[in-house]
This record gives sequence, structure tokens and C-alpha cells, in this order.
Amino acid sequence: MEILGKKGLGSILKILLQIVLVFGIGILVAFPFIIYYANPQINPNIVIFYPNAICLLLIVWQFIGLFDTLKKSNPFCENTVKRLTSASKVSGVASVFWIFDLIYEAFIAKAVSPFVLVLCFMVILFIGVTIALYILAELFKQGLEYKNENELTI
Amino acid sequence: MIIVNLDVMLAKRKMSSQELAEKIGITQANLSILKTNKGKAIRFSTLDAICKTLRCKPGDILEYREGE
Repeated sequence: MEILGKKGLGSILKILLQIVLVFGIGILVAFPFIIYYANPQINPNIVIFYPNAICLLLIVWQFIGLFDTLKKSNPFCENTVKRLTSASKVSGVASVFWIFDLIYEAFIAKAVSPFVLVLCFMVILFIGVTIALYILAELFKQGLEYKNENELTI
Repeated sequence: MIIVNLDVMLAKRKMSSQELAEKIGITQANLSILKTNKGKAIRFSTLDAICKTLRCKPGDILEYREGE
């Protein structure tokens, strides 16, 4: 299956991510009302989940823009590098939030170990994503430089 | 940096840019990139074709200037 172009995989993924973004924003907006009416027992670390959700939605937003360049069949452009770098930075911020949450749960709230293990997993996952996105951005940057050089070789 | 003095050689040979571009088989746009020093590199094959057409040596069209 094609990845680039209007009928490529990039376009389908872009639509999926747009749906995820809309639902994500909807849930984020509705969440305080759901809690208010349902009135469940809330863990204090919900404070961390909220900014993390915003970070995730920002990453999704960057990826929508990224798949837009795939749709235009031009992946090696300045826009891709910028979006990957931004996504990497946002992911880094999310990792810091998860670390704060882990510290809070493990040392202050003294939460049960399975929950702490999940938080450890999230910290490792987000640090991994940050590094992967940063490396990808650098790779695209190098690719862009090679492309420009090749285009200006007469 | 390397400066391309193609204009000087073209004037000496009384040849237009369009004519040179046609003879060496590159587009006018690419020749313009070369003439205005916007190019990043030049292929040996292109240099060979230019030298052959303008009856000159690479040193006649390429010049090294320090500190620019």
C-alpha cells in the first residue's frame, strides 16, 4: 500500500488522528463535568493526568501536520523537522509530569505497587518516545540537508 | 569560497547563457543557479561540458576567494 499521496496510508492515519484529537478534546472538556456528576473517588494524581492529556493531544496535533506533508508527497521538508522537534519537546514535558507523578505516588501517597509500576512504565515509555522523536527529527534534518545539496548540484 | 566566473567566459566567447545551456544540456534555471553562485556543487560531467563548449580550463571559470 502507498504511504505517500492523497490515497496513501498517511491520509488514512491523518483522518484517524483527527478523530482522536476531536474525541480527546471532547473528553478533556467534559471530564470535570463527568467527575462533578458521577462523583467518584478521585485519586489526587488526576492533576497530573490533565496536563499529560494536553501534551498527548499536542503530539497528536503535530502528527496530523506531519501526515499532511505525507499527503502532499513531500516528507523531506522544513515542516516535518519542526513538527518532529516540537513533538519531541512536548513528549519531554510529558515525561517530566510522569516523573513528578511517580515521585508523588511512590514516596508521598505511598500508592500500591502495581500502580507505581504502571507509572514507571509510563515514565520509561515517554522518555523513549522523546528520544525516538528527537533522533527522527535529526534524521529528517540530515535528509533535508542532503536533499537541498542534491537539488543544488548542477 | 568558490566563485563561478561563468559570465566573464561567456562574454569572452561572445556566447549567450541560453546557447551554453542548450549546448551542455542543462536548463537555463540551473545555469542561472551556477552563475549566481547559489549552487552547492558542480558535477565533473557538467564542468567537462562547460570547458569543452567554452574551450577553457576549470580554473578559468572557478575561482577561490578567501574569507567570504
